[in-house]
Amino acid sequence: MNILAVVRLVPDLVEPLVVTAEEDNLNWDQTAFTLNESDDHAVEEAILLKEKYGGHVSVVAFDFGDIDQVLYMLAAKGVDRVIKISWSHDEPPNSLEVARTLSRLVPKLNVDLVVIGCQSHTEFLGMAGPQLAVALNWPYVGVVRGVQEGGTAGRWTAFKEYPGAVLAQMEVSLPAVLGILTASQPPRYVPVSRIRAAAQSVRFETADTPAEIEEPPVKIQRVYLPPAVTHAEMLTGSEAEVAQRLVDILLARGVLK
Amino acid sequence: MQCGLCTSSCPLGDAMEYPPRRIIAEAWNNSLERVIHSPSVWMCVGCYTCSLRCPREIDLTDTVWPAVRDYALQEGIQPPPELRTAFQNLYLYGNVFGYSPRKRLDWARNLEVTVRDLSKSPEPVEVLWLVGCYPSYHPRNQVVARDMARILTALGVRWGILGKEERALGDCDRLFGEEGLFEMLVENNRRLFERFKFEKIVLLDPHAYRALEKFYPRFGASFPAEHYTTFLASRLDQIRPWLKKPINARVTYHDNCCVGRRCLCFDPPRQLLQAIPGVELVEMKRNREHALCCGGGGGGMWLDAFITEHGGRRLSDVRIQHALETGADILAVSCPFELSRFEDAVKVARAEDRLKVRDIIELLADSMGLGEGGGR
Repeated sequence: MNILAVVRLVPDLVEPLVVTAEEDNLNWDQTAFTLNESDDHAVEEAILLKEKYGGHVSVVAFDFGDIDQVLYMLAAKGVDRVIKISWSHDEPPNSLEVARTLSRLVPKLNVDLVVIGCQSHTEFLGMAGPQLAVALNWPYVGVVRGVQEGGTAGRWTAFKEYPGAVLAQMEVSLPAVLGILTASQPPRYVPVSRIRAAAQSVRFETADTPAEIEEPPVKIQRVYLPPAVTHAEMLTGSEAEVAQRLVDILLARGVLK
Repeated sequence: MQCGLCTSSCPLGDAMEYPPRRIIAEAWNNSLERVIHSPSVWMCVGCYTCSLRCPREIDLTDTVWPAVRDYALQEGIQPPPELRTAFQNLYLYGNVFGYSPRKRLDWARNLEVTVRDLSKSPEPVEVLWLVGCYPSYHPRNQVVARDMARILTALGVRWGILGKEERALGDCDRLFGEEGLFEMLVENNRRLFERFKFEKIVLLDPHAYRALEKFYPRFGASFPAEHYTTFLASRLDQIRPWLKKPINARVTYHDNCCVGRRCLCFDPPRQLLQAIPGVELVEMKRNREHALCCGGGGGGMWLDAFITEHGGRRLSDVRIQHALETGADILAVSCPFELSRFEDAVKVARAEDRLKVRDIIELLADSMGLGEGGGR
């Protein structure tokens, strides 16, 4: 099976986020980036599938920030092929840009399965996976916590999490797009010596970004940091008193009318 | 030679499926693959007792254990999660906490003495002080860092720090078999240190000191370095006139493994303590080269849950009983790991009202009228 894992960089919250003076975006020049956590899990799940069933794992990423170091690490973990998509903008691609770009690249790669993190700080409502599936006209299953062979009629089984501690088994025909929440096991640690070896040996393939990408359907009106609060109020007293105080607060804040 | 002194000396040897002697036997038998799947691989806390006692001078701590762990990592064996996180944080941020390098100087906020941040303004200094990860970021240890800054300034030492450019030196990672990570840190630190002019490096962290003194030269990175205990003890004549405020307490000193057993440096810390008026120094039943490890070395700092699960105890809990048996009021330490480890152990022993844990720097600073009172 040929699996393509999509990885994206997101703001690293180890560093403080800085908003532009216009409050229309983050100040990308002052933002540090790290690998999107659920994309990390998507790669791990892809490698686990390869180890269990055979095949190849490719990783695709936009050439943004310090993506090379991330790609070396993923190569050291067991990724077979690394593709970088050129990207000359100051900010990372939004979900629609990811989906549109990949929808033109994926058909050229002979891919059976695309795995992508089911969410990312840099997108709205975790839409990159579903948008990619729609563009490819492939089935999509999101919030997946593991994948295995063994569905009926040659289909695969994706384990999808629902509220109420329900873990559903979704049968899916390939090719498909899966939005990964977590891999079947935590992303593996790879010794730094392996990463450094990968940096010496791995060769990136490159792909171009399509010239025209549509405007995202969601327009950001304002970006601001959460206002700092000075205290938390602990509600005390009888149940009735606490309930009344809660109602008063909700009325005062306009939550209840 | 198979005397087994290594295993009988190991503070966790009884809890290991593969104690040191058996690891050597498995290596002879070409069956180390059995060892690397055992929890034993991650249970050595790098105390160096086996190496010091080995009649054939086999350096198990610095060579055999790291080699077995390196083999395990190369074979894809996953280190315990806490240790894995520490490795990843070091790789990404240069400190075990995963904090921003920009926050390295937070300990010095509102400090009344001048801090020369060489990363902003390079200038020749007498002492390049590597503050270390714990004193930079850990609130309890930040008190020690501030007291050290005051002492250095009071002594007229021209000192500077590397601010946001400082990174961990990596001794614990080398001991835990992450040789590639250690090499990366050595290369980065060598390039960093070479940019500045200084007479010597002084460190609070004995693990970092040990790495710089013994292992960095193997990579062509030789820099004169001292742990703060020897640095301050060598200036005791200059310090003595400052030691005016008595600390009327019975004090026992815990020899940390790196300055103590590994460097056989036992007297300077005691000389510093005995110079403080009012201090009555008492010894634990295991002291100097026989001191019991706190359990934090060699990566043990990030394996408490794992070692407790597989070893059945925290060595710091055992060690605190030794301190309590002396009737001491204060347990003096000289390693950043030990403040938090032993303060936790004091709480476990429900002995907060009987025993305080203080770094030697704090005691000196208090007696010199410069200290913050130890924070608690």
